[in-house]
Amino acid sequence: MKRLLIVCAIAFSILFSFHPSASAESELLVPCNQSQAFQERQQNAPNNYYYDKPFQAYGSELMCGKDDGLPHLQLRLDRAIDIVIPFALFFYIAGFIGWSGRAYLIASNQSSKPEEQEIFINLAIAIPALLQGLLWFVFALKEFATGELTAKTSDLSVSPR
Amino acid sequence: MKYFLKYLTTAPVMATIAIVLIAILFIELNYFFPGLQYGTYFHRV
Repeated sequence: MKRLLIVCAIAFSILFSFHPSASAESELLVPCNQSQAFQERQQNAPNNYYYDKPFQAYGSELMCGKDDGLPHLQLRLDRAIDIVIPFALFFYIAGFIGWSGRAYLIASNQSSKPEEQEIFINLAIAIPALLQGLLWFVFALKEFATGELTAKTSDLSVSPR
Repeated sequence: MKYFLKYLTTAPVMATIAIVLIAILFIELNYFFPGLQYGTYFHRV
């Protein structure tokens, strides 16, 4: 508990000591259309859908590094959605992969030959595990609340000292 | 046929099927919501 309080105190002190510097931003980042390095990149890129569309979008919407000409997303509240969507997609997909794998291993460990179930995927176990993975955050919260998510300290092996 | 189906459930084959399905899913996602990965979806060109 004491350690948790110290961690919280450090986190809050970092949070409140952070001052976004507007001047640094305007020096380092310019609208992509105005960055010479970006324009060079755009001209040198192949002419097809996979390059044209992103370059048009970057050029009209994003800020680019003045020197490198690469688009950067800014950590600004009014553009928070730009960051939130990719982060949310990443965490959801990472959680889905992890949770469905975990559910499959837990279920296959109940069988008589768990090693074989890792080589030949048992679809009768895998499909429910994948479906469970879709709602992984609900199961994770539930298991965290009931204490099933983590192993007990007494179950952890400690190397001899 | 029985052995062929058993072969299809081996981990590398299942992993290949899964990765193809995920690729199709992402391609469709990008088709319907272009720009999510560029941070430009909500203020499009």
